[in-house]
Amino acid sequence: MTLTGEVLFPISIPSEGSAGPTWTWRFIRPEIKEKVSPCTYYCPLHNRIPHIMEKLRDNDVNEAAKILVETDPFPFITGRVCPAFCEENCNRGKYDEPISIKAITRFLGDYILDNQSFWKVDRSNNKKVAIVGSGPSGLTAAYYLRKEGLKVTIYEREDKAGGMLRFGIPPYRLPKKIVDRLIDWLISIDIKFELGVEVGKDVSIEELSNNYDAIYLATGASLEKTIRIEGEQYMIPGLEILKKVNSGVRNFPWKNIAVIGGGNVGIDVARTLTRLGLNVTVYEKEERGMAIEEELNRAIEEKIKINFLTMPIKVEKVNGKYVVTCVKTRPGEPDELGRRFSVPIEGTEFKVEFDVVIKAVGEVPDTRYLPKQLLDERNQLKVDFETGYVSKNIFAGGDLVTGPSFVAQAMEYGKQIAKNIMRYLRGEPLQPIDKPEPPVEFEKINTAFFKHAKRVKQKILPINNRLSSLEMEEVAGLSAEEVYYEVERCFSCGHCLKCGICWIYCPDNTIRWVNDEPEVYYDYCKGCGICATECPTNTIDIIVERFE
Amino acid sequence: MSIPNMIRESGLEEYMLSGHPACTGCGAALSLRLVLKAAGKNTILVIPAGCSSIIAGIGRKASINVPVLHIAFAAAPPSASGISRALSVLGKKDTNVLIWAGDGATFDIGFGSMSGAAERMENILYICNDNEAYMNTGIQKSGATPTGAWTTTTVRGREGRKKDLFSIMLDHRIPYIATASPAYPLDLMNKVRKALKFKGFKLIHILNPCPPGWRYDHNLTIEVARKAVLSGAWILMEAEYGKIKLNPPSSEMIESRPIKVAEYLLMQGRFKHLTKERIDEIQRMIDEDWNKLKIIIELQK
Repeated sequence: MTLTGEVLFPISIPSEGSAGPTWTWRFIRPEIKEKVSPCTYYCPLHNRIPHIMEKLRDNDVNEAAKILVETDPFPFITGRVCPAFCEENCNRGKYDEPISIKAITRFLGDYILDNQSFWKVDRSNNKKVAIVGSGPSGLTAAYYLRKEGLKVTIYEREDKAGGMLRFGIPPYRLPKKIVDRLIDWLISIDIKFELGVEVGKDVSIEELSNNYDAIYLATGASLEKTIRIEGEQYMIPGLEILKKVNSGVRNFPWKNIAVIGGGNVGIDVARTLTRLGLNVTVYEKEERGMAIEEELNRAIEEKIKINFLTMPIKVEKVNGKYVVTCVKTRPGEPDELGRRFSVPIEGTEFKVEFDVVIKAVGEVPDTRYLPKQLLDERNQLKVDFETGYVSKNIFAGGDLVTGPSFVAQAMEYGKQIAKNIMRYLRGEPLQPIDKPEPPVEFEKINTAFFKHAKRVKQKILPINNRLSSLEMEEVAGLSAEEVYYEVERCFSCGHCLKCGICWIYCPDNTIRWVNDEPEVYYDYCKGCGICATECPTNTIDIIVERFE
Repeated sequence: MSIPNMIRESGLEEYMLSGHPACTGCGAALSLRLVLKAAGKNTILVIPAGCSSIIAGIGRKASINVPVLHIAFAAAPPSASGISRALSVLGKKDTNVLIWAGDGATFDIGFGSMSGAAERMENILYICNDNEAYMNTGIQKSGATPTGAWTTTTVRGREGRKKDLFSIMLDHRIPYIATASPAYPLDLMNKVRKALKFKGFKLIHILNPCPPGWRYDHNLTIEVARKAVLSGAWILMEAEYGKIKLNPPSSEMIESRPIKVAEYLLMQGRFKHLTKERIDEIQRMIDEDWNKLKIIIELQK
């Protein structure tokens, strides 16, 4: 007590809530910034896989499917036939094994197929668009344009819609009932199909151009390339065989068959005919064809004879049979682009006799139906590759513009052209096809928080069962448990996991947790950089601050 | 397999405030924050002289939101004993008494009084904030400085070895002893919560990396702390009534350690003068420690 009687001790004074701002200590600053993951970057459709994984982590399959459908309207197809560039470039692949993204896409795709509420159209627009060709690119463009409320009509020269999905891909890779369900669904959202109508013959491009506000040419690449060897006229194009098989033909009057070309079509033809009990030999002139590795390995497992570095030089018709003269090749010197084309070795010619020779050396766009003014001197379509614009109100895309590609790539083209058609109809300037920013590198991921775990493999039918049926799908989907296991393995590159690692490791308590998201409280951040170093997903950047 | 949700596991309440004057990237400030989160509001903290005396601050600029008693080096355990007994007399049995002492106060100056408090079985949780030297006064060697480390008083690297505080306190037969690291925050917090359930003298020994004293870039604090554990130089373990148990990830490292100690040592400037022979010697010491520990755990089974 003092002389005046006032009590001095013990005294209690509350803290101000902080000792004092410490931002002046700082010369670097953390910044929370979402980035692009390698799976998203390398996906032709740029599916936002980390976002999908996040929803699946919360057991929300419906939300995950919604995010997927935004960029990939037909995941039940891409989840089956895509070569999966996402898995090839997955950062987890550099740690142990990549995530089974394709199988997860298929899982969500099958969910979408069973819940057609995803495809509701809630806008309306009186503009009319015609799409020529009902392949992956045309169907995708039709979907996105119909979503905007437009009236969409698809012209298809075959009796059934689907293009390559229907006639190109063998049924053991893509069951045709899935294509049927897709077409039924597109019809149910009022997309009109004009089947058996060949544009250029039954109806002209000018007519379409005058009757519709915009037209999209997506007729794909279906014409077999010429290889300029003697006896080429005896060869049957590979796509023709696939089309016959997919239309229900099961009996061919041959026994021994040669397939020229070990690319995707070549391998598909060889595997399809092997399933019909025929004896197939494949000739590929390079060290390794352009086929998807998985498919090629399965073909080798099925004991299909694939002769690499062998090139046919002549086909002769002798007594109703075909005699193929082949020559061995060796890899040539790399050209200025680093590509190595094989060159024949002289004196290694040999002759083999076959019942039929099938040509599958690659396809080119068929432009014969187009009017002359749209073509250049090499009979190729005059098109702006950046925007897909041809002339007047005509757009083109997919394999017709790019040459043969994968389903997902054709779909992406359809999606982007649909956006440009919308811009055109609104009178806005056309935009080049968007590309995402460079992806997060593996070195930026903090793997200390991830334990090694093996990838779930999709079950494949045993070889004997595979060879006995053409219709049975050979790869099985994942169960829900397996999908959740895979989801837990995902690094979530560049997308905040909301794990709280940054928050718990901040010595200055400057990462605040607001609305279940981290937020940096810069007044007190000393700029140690622990949050950015420790972030498992590389969502936090370090920015150097300068005071001048 | 996946990363645990840190927020759900540890709660959002904070008793360490922003703006404290600890160095950029301070491991001790982080550990103190985690300890207070685990101990909760009903806590009295006793801090003997050291870095933390500065970090805690004074008056209205205090950065700790629980009562703090600042006291001289050797006086922390007796003062805490007094507080603990007074609380007991007042019937406030659920108030925790914590000592947050540096390695100087624990290994050297306050060693005797800590031993006395442990022997009397005072109801205190003693937390040793071990940054392996007298960092507050300018990096002088302490009893906790490891073999080979540079300090301003051991410019050619420290001779001799760090005291084995865990074994010393194990022989005091106290109910609970643990080691922890800020790189494993949930483990650290769980140990604090667990320790507070025991009656009597408890000790948690935390290895806190110090960017200026250990000479590494301040964004690597957690990386250094993690490598200390993964190289086996720092062992995460606890002993309840004398029975030793290893905690993950150390529990998976009995047979072999995932990284060599050189990787941990060479991240830090205080070890950069070490020759290869010296590093091999340190590796041998660590392997010996692990072998000894393995035998003890086998015997206790």
